Amino acid sequence: MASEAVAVKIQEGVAVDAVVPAASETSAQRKILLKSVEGEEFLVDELFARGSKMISNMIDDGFTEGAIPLPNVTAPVLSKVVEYWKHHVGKSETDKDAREFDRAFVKDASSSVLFDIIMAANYLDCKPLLDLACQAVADAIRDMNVEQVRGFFGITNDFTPEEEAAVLEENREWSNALTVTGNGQKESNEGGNIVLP
Amino acid sequence: MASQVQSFADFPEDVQLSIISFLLPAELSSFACTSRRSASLCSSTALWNAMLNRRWGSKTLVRRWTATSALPFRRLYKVLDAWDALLGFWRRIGQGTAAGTPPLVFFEFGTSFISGSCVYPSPDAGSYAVVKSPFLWLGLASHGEPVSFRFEFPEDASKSTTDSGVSESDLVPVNVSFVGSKHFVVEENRSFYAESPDTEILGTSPPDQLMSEIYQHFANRTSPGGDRASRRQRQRKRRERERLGRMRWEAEHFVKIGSFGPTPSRPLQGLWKGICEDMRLDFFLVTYDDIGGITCRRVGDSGEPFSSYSPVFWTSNTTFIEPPFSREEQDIYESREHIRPVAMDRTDKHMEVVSRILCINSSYDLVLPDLSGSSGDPRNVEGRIWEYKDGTFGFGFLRNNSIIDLKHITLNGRILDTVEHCSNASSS
Repeated sequence: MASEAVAVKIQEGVAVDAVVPAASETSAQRKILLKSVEGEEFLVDELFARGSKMISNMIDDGFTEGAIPLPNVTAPVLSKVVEYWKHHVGKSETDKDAREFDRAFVKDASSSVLFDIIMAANYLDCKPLLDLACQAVADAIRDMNVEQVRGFFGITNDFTPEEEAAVLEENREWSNALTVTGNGQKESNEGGNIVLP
Repeated sequence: MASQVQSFADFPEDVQLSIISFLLPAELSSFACTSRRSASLCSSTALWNAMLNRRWGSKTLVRRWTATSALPFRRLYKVLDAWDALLGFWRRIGQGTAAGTPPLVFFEFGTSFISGSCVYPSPDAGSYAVVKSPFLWLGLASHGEPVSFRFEFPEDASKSTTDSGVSESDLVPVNVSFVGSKHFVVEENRSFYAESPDTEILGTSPPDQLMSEIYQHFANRTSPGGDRASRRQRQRKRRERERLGRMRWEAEHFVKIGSFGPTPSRPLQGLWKGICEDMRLDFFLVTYDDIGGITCRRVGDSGEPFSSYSPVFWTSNTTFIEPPFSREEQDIYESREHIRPVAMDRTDKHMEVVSRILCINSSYDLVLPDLSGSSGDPRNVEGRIWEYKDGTFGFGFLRNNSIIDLKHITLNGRILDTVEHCSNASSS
């Protein structure tokens, strides 16, 4: 009985402490065991796990014993990645539910969560997820001024005042509203006599 | 929850490029100002190549642009960004255009340039064909700098056709300048040759390879005018005229036709073509105004001013009559004849299934000589639009019994049913 209850929990891809045999061959589909950096184990349908090119290659190379260790991915992040795979793998690119999921997935995600997902998606080689997270980061800095962008990314200003003035000037042709501090609302270059190149 | 990533520098470089490649140029310029490393990242060739492909990869061969040009990719992006605003339909305004000059110009991407073509209805009776005549060419010269040229056909078109029936033309350098985002001006660029008053230098005309590419795009009956010798002779004559201070033509102004296609909430909007009672093809522009009305005007191929035309039809009530239709409405429709070219397949009836009907008016105050007292009869101006299942529609007026069916001029950004012609003036 107890083992059945455990089996049900595993079905949902939730981390369990118990060691479970990897790649159990059910009539439906194979499952792959993934291990986060903390040692937490996730049993995931092979179909979904192949959302990662890296894992997919390992499976194809004959990796059948034990868990696939992912030392670069923490459990909370891995759980989010698995969620992503479940909503996307095997679905068409224009699937409405998938897009709705994406919207909710990135909405209100903090920068640290987005950064971690980017790192994980890059390590696992899951390009669609990488693109989704990168786009979310780009959207997040949309109306920021230079100082705010620095804060967001943890970038230190190493320009001399002259250098900074020069680079601001050079980049001003792209954005009328380029400012270091103050309101960073971006406008497009409209109006006035612009001679086309 | 602490992230593994404390700062942007913790990302591997390819991930850094990935992230910033999603930024729009305005955000990229802010990012570039954050640090030295950021500034250097933002000028990376790989980055701008990705930006170019993301924005225009589906519209043109980006690698042809980047291969033929010595421009840094970032500068190329700026050039294309400015030229991108030209895509679509524009109409000629103001004086300075000879009678018979087609008012419509259409810009689209070529493989490594942008072409502007004069677009006008084919003069052949009973045809839906649309003539596309080369007008402007914007691209990169061999040294990488952006250049724009205007096609000029000799005034006397008949004299210059070669034995194979091909017309000769010249490419004259011009400046294309925007005045705001919906208005541009084309002016002769007389300083283009200023650097080389007498000697023939490579830069004086587009290199032959580029020339043949241009003519290949217009696919057809245009060719570089004669051999090099006669071309050089014409260039000499042109420079002579320039030295004497004579401009070939005045500046030409164009304004944008904003919405040239239908949308779900504005199903009749846009540019259409239709064959009228005289079996000639005409272009029509249907626009929706701010107060919920629709107006349709003819876009003539004559030099007559666009705005002085009375509308072809108009209505202030855009609520369609839905099926089932009353007996009266059915009679109005079925008693009519669709004007169609003789060659058209008469059995192709599927497009004539009417899905909705709209009441319209023409403001022509018609007085039919053989109907006394008709000028006061509202039925003289009343009409109908019959929308078909495929989204096109036909219109007609109660005073006659014909239907003019309108069809799309473009589909997916390309002009349908094109034929090529090479004269500035439309022949009658």
